[in-house]
Amino acid sequence: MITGAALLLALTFSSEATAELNTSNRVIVAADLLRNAVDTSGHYGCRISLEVDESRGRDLWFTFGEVRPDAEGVWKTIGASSRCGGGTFAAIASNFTSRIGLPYLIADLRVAPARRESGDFDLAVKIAIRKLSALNRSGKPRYERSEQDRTLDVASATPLTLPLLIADDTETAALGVHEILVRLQAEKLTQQLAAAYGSVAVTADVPGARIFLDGGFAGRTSEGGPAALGNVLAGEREIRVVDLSGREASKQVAVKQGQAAAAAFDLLKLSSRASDKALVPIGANPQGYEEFWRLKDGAVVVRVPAGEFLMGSPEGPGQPHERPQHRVHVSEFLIDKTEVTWRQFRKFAAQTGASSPPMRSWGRADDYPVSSVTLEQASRFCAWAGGRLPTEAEWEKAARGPESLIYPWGNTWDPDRCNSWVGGTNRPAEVGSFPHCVSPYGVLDMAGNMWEWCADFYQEDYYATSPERDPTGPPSGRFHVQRGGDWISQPLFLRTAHRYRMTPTSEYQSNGIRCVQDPED
Amino acid sequence: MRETTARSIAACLVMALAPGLEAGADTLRGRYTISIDALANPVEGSPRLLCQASEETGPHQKAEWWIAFGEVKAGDATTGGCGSLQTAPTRDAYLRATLSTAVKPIREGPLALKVVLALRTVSGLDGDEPIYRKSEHTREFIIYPHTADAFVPLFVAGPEEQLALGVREVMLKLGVDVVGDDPAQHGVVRVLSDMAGADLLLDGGGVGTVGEGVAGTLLRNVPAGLHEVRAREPSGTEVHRVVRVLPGRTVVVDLSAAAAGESTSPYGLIPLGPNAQGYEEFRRARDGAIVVTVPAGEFVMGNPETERQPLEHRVYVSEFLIDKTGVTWLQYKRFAAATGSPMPPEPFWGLHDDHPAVFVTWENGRDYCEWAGGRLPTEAEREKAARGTDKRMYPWGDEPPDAERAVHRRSWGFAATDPVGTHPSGASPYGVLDSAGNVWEWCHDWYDEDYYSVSPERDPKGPATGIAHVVRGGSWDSRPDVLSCSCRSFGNIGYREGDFGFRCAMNASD
Repeated sequence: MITGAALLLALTFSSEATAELNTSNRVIVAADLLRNAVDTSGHYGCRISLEVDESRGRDLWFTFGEVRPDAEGVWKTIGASSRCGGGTFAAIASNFTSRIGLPYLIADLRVAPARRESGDFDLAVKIAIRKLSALNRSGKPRYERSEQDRTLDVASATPLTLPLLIADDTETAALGVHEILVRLQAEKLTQQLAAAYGSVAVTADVPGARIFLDGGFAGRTSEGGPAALGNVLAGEREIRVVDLSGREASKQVAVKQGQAAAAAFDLLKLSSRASDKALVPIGANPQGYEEFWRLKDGAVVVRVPAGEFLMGSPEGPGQPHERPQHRVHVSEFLIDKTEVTWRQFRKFAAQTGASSPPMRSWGRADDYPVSSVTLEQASRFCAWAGGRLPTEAEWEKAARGPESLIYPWGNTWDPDRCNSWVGGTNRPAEVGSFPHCVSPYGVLDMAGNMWEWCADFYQEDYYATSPERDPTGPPSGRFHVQRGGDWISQPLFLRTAHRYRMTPTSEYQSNGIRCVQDPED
Repeated sequence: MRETTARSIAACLVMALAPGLEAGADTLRGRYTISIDALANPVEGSPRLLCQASEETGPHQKAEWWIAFGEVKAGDATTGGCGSLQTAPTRDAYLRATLSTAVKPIREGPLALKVVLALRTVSGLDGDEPIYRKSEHTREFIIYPHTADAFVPLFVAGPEEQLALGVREVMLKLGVDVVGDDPAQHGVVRVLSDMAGADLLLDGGGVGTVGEGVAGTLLRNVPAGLHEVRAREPSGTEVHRVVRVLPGRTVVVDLSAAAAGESTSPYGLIPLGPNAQGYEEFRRARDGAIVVTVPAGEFVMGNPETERQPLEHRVYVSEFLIDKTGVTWLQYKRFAAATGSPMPPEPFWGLHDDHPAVFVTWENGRDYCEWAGGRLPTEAEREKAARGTDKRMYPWGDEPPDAERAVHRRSWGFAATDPVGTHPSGASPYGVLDSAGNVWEWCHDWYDEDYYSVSPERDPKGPATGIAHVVRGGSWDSRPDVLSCSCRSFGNIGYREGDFGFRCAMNASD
């Protein structure tokens, strides 16, 4: 009888005990036409890949550029496209010329196995190039023909790249390229053809934590059930789970063919911290500030200690309504580590019957920030969760810290930190997916991703008259303050001092929520 | 301020240009590794790596390099080297190149690498002293980090040089990686197959069965690299393909029993006869698209009544063919399966076969059209196909859009594409559908706000270069007036959006 361990060993991908199926007679040849364009339109042209085996070679063709005679019978370029296909060009030539025009450059390639030495074989590549000589002339077009033989080494990882056309000035002007190259790469299909797969069900006490499978990102944890990782190669696999504050745990799991292995993680150790309070302490974050788990909606909140900071911008940078820069004392408060997600908002909607904001093209996946919310929806959500919307001063302090940084992470602009117009994903991102977009208190996404509603009415010159302790904004106004910029914001909007105003009833696509709450006794 | 960057609020002015290109170098902190390889293609045998060098730089920061190949006097081809310029040897070589490189960050995937290349090769000897032929080139490449490189031929040997040096060419390979970028190690394979219920094998191991439905069967967590995917029916029918899985991307593989024996007739246009408007239509064999003939002639381009007040001017457009509708997901999936191109991200409403493909970049559109046997339409062709020759405001006339004629933003709550071709009352004078609304469509042309003041009268093809391409037509997320035939907008290199798609054009037959 085979023991479990022995079976596992036999299924392990790298196990030497496993008989390897010989696949050395299958080679995949990938051929790319590369065009070095005069502009920045990119240099990847047509691509084709073919399977070549020991017994037979394969043909493929490329063309570049198209010409037709104009009204005077002079041959002019009508296009500079690259095209390719399997077989020989002759097979489709009449179709091509009648529909498109005459190709300027035609390359027929024949890739055939050449010899076999010590188990490897080389590929012999025969290249026939035809180039039209009639550009900008009238009369019957003529192709100049040249042929060459090349060798493509299957064992080598180095592709074969060679020029098909080095354009002269006329050709560069007419076709918009400096060179046309072809790149050939042969690769043996070495994957063992007896692979076995199972799956892994990952559970954690915190949703939205990143899951890594053998070091590669494989998804996020969910709530109310495991996150399933499908077709995982059988064998010992490492599953690592990392939450937004860097709390991490990993496990080795034995994945068996056709079976679901389980990996459960207790990242926040909530069970051992049972509490009758709404906020369960989960320890300090890497920045040294205490974090709590809010049971109601499943969110991490960060304690921001009482103290002073400089609010607004000094003379010079920034906009007039950020001035004067002034010292403000803010009492202790707790702020959500991330923007409110759809996962949280759905719980609120289910419990209260509140309507959902409109859906945008990026959808309503669990870990995406809720968007298009009005001020009223935002403040209702926060009240339900046990908090309220932040004041403008609380928001700014949480974003810039006691040292009043220009950006949440520091005083130097960095396009790659946050999800913005300059360095982002071109769409809203799952909360916390920019781990370096972090404030001194460990609060995430305080720049970019979503604009965040504040409780304060907007008043342009409010800073001139605002109180020194816990300002709560002017008594009335047409607009409310929003802070933090969004995924299509420019660097200017990502400064912690930047203020924006929005009509309270707006359902703008980037209206998001972040709540604060007062400390529990 | 904000209204000009928020593209769903702004009308024509959809996007600002990438500010990263204008920002001062010292204010950016991204780090990049530039690598250069010199490769020799020998007369016999496979390519040989001459040398490799790499250097970490910041954005817009210049790095300088040298490459040398071949000794002048000894005629020895085997020596060669490269490195950063400070370490350049003083001995003379047959080929000597110096280059300077600088990375310009672009939004999302690609990076622009500017290269100034100075080349010297020996053209003869004056006594014992070599005479050099010099040339200098400035190039700019768009490179995707981790996955793609650019190549430049440094030296192409003549017959005598081939004999003397034993090489045919010396190629320069340029690559850029983002430092600290954590490349994913797994990708996704989307299997399309009409063999529902058949066993699905990945590298010979069972990973389930082929599912029903058009979205295909997803295989996640597949390690990057080459893999064989096989569908096997109990009856013994088998179809297999080999795919290259790219980290963090989705590749599509077509395992249809029907596709297995597909013959190649790539550019066949099957005549369908005239459409209701009287214009000849064809079915394109490769992707099944219906294309409409738009006859040669003049039309008035631009409309001062649209928001950005494009200049009105007469333009002659030669006869061309244009897709009757935008390219659909079904078509795009075939393309992705045939070429190994990664699939765009999936919009929340799913990959429905009859909806237009979205989240496609300009390059995706260009590559698709080239595969299908066409190209992206020029801006002039796109406007003419939508508008005809009578200066109308919208494809159907001058009445403002309604829900029957065009898919646009009816309320904040409506947010998704409609199937293509489902609004026949919005047809253009040539019978082209969805010219207004549903999705913005990429055009061939680079975008330049002032282009109309300098564009040629015959077949304008846009400015020579730029950093954004024209999009036309408005979308499900657009205000009604943006759907005007003359409204211009643009999207940057690499930009993807849930309401950006494309359609193809072709040159006319004789």
